[in-house]
Amino acid sequence: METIDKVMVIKGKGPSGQEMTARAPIRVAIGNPTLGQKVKIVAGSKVGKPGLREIKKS
Amino acid sequence: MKVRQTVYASIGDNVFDAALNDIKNNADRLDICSQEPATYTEATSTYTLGNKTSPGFTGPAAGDTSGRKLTVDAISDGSVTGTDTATHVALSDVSETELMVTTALSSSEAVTSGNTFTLTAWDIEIQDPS
Repeated sequence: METIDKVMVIKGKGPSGQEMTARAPIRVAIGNPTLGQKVKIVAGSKVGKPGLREIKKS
Repeated sequence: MKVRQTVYASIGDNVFDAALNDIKNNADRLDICSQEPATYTEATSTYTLGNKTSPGFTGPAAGDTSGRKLTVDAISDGSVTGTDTATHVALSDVSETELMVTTALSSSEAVTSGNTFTLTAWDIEIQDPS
């Protein structure tokens, strides 16, 4: 399995107005996070690696 | 006492399924390629070493890790159209000339034009928020 990641920047305002910036290897960010809050993110998608075999013409 | 607020998020299965069904309903050509294609033309012309039209799918269903997954069914009768070493697989929508999915093979394989290829089943999984 292969993980596809994309870097995004999440920016939100804290309780007293200060800005915060978080960088993480994520694909989609949800919500408008404030300081002290946990942020739920989508980690990415996985794509399998198929096995190839050739059948030679007889 | 300070209480820390926690924000949880979720994405409904129907949202994941809409994306996976877009692949299921529209990906009508699978190519084996000599390197990872970045465009439809690369997948179906520049780097293709063989193809299978109308590949089968199973699902969407619950993901192995989380979320939802779509299984690309095993192929037993793909046509090899070029001679080189195949390293990647691509799924494309022919009518929209759109490259939809690419992935590496579990191991590269030398192929010869005129032969047939088989491919094991593989999954495309979109995971839950974490």
